[in-house]
Amino acid sequence: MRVTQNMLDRCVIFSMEQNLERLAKLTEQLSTGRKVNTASDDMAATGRILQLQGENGRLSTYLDNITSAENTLNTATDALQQASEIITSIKELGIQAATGTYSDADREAMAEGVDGLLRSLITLVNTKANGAYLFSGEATDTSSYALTTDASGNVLAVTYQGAVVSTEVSLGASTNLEVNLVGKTMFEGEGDLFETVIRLRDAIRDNDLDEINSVRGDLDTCHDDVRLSLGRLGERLDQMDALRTVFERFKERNDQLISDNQDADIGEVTVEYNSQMALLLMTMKVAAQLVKPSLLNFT
Amino acid sequence: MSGFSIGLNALRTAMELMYIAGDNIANANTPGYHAKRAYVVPEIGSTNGIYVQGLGSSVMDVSRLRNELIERSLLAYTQVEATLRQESDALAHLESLFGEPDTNGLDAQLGGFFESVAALAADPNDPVLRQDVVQKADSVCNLFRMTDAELATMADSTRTEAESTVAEINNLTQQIAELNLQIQMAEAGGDSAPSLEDARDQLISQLADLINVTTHDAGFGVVNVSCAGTLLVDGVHNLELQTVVNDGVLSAVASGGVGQSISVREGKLAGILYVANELLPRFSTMLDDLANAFRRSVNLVQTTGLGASGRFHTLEGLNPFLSDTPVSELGYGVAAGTDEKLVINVEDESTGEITQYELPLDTTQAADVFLTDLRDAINAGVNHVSAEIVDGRLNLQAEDGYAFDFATPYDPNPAESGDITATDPTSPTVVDAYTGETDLEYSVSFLTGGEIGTDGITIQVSVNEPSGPVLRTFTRTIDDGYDPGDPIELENGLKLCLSAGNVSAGDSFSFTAHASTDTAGVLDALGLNVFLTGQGAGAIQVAERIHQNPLALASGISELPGDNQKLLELHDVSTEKLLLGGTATLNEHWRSMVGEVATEASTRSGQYENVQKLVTNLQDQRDSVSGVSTDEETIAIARSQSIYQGIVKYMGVLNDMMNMLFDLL
Repeated sequence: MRVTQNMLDRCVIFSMEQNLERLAKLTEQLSTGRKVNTASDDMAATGRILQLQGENGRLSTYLDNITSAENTLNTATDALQQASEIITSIKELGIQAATGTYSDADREAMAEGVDGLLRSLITLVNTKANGAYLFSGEATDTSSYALTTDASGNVLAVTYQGAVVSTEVSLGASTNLEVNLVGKTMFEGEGDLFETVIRLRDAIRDNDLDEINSVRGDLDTCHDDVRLSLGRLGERLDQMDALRTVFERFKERNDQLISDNQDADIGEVTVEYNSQMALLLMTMKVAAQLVKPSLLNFT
Repeated sequence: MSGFSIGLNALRTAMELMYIAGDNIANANTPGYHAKRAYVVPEIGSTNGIYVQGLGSSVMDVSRLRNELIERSLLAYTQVEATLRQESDALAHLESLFGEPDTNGLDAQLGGFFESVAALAADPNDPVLRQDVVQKADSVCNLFRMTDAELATMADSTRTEAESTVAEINNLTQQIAELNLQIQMAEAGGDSAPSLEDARDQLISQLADLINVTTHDAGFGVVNVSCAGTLLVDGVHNLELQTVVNDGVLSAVASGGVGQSISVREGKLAGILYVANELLPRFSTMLDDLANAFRRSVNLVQTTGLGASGRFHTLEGLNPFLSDTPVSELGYGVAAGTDEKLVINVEDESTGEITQYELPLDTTQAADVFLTDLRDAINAGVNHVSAEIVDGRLNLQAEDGYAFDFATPYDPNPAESGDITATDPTSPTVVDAYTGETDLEYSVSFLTGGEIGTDGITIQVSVNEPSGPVLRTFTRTIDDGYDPGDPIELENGLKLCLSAGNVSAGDSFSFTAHASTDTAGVLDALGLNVFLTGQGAGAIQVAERIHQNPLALASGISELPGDNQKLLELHDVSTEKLLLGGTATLNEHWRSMVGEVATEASTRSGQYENVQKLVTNLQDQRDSVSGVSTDEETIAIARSQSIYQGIVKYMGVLNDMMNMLFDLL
């Protein structure tokens, strides 16, 4: 084959361009630490990265929601535990009053004690978390219960003011969880807690032992309702804890997969970079000595 | 004296050969140059009676070293290479424009928006989270608009590039025609013109980089150049081209006259036309589809919900309905239907009583007629709310003391005056989200009467489609264990609450639960209570009303601050298959766009590299045949020099011989 100078020049230029292009790609990988910098670098990996990033975004939201819901439900649990303790105190006063050996003044004091505990209960069920009433269902800006008192300040009635539907948050593709609670369901389920306490207070004040004993039974039922609610809250918290563990594991796995798909193996890229650089230097050396010997050198 | 003639001819030939070798060496690096070779023939003299005398040698012709097959192949693949280079560059630019995979790309921004919605759903009253949703929507809209603007800029620069390319083509064809004339004149005079032919062929090669061309010999060294059957260079004349845009399609046509369309298949111009007419419109349309689906799906939730700011006292439509185009064809995605409906709830703010109105709609009507009819229907049929048309837009206004909405899909206070006949009657209310997929009418009747929360009362519920037969009947019983106000489960998520009071046996009431309060999605088209406005990616933006007052962002179907039903629905939009014939979510559609660009970019880049190698190979082959070898030329010079020296010697000897003769005289 007849070989001319232009053929040699073109060959070297073409090789240098190819080397430089490859070096540019490797430099990009080294500077970003990623092997996929544009979608066409690896289309399949790009699809997986975008999907995994989207999934991680959702998981982060679910985890944030779990944290938020846990805070709310922990506050609700604290409130219910305190309410349960107050109910126990009320029940103890009921037992005390049922003995019938106290004076009218003692009974009045006990009735006032029950009334005070009732007010504490109402304060508890009107608990707010993050500015929202916990036991008002969707009516988070409305106090859960309102008091009706007589001229002496005695509580005559306690009325639920909240909504009967609660707010749910999304904790997964098909998992919604109630984050606030409907006080009407929790405190007026099998028995109306507040009405029962009012009845007990009045019975103590009236020294009506039969009524006291009867109300004590009703109070046990109400107490069971509160304990049951506490148990349900505990189950929800456990459920969220389990979900948190699962989501965190998923997120960690996704992070690993994103890294596997996107991150460059720096060691491998560095070796390839050095190899490519050596090739380029060699090409340049050849280019520098490209002017082939000619007969002109000998004339 | 023929001896001197021989010497003179030989000297001329030697000098000519020397000039050719020098010219070859001088043009060793000239693009398109073909090495020249002289055709040397013996000069024939007259007979001397013994033989026909020779008169030395002369250069009969100078020709180019050239392989026509290689030249034609190179011309053809140069065109393909130019097409692929143009397309590959445009696709690479488009790919970088889409900017994926990236944590700030549209995929992440869309995901971020829906994540912010989910966060707000967990705490619907948090003003910071509410503001965050608006900002995230803003970011998505900004990215849509930026991407669209970049596509538009690409389209503009592509058109400009087409114009400059066509101007370059015209310039080249004119020069080719002029060279044809010079070559023709030279050849007609009996001379060959290889240098002129090289110059012309180089121009043809440059032309092939711009547009698909083929060449045809037309005699006397003239070459005609045609593009897909149209002569761009016809002998010594060239055809001027120009770019035109018809119906948004960019094309090249012959200037003046009938403007004959040119079928551009290869070359840079073909790549430009592909980018302008196929690539950019395709991705622009896909981006518009995505933006429209995003706007509409978000608005369908927003328009039928209530924000934290509650029901509306006034609402202004953002989109004009001025044309006679049917509403369903305005581009808002409104379904075509003659029995669509819009439900408006009007609240008496002094009593909290809500009255529900159902308006029939025909979305096949012309937009202007539809708007007028809707205004008239509201003014005639909806109490305490008036409608007017301002600049083709529908505005709604409630009377003082009244407010309206399109949210609650049923009448939450369904019992009309007189439905409950008992003394001190109970007030039934309906609560919670309706999950039914069709409109259903619920007829509630009390089989037994009594006091709510004291007496045993049986409630019968009949369910039927509006104006249809009864589908099913079920009963619910309450007794002294029922606490007034407690929810009684009905079906499809609905709950009935009965306040303290009485009912009589036989009392009844009914209500209709609507699967949708806006069956055709006309509120989005009218721009009433929308979150996003604008058609297409270039115009999409967060509505000013939401910008100014994020509380107007719909969160539920009631005014309860913890009602997050609409936010949960909005979050579900992220998983709905809205695009590509119901097979792709918003994010999946975007990813398919990114994948499509990447696939094409990768394919074109691969094809370009292959053709580039092929062209390089063909250039090597051409240089192997036509390139200048300095070795060959050095030998040619040495040979010419040797001949020259010999002839000079010969002429010296001849001169000596002549002088000897002269000395005899």
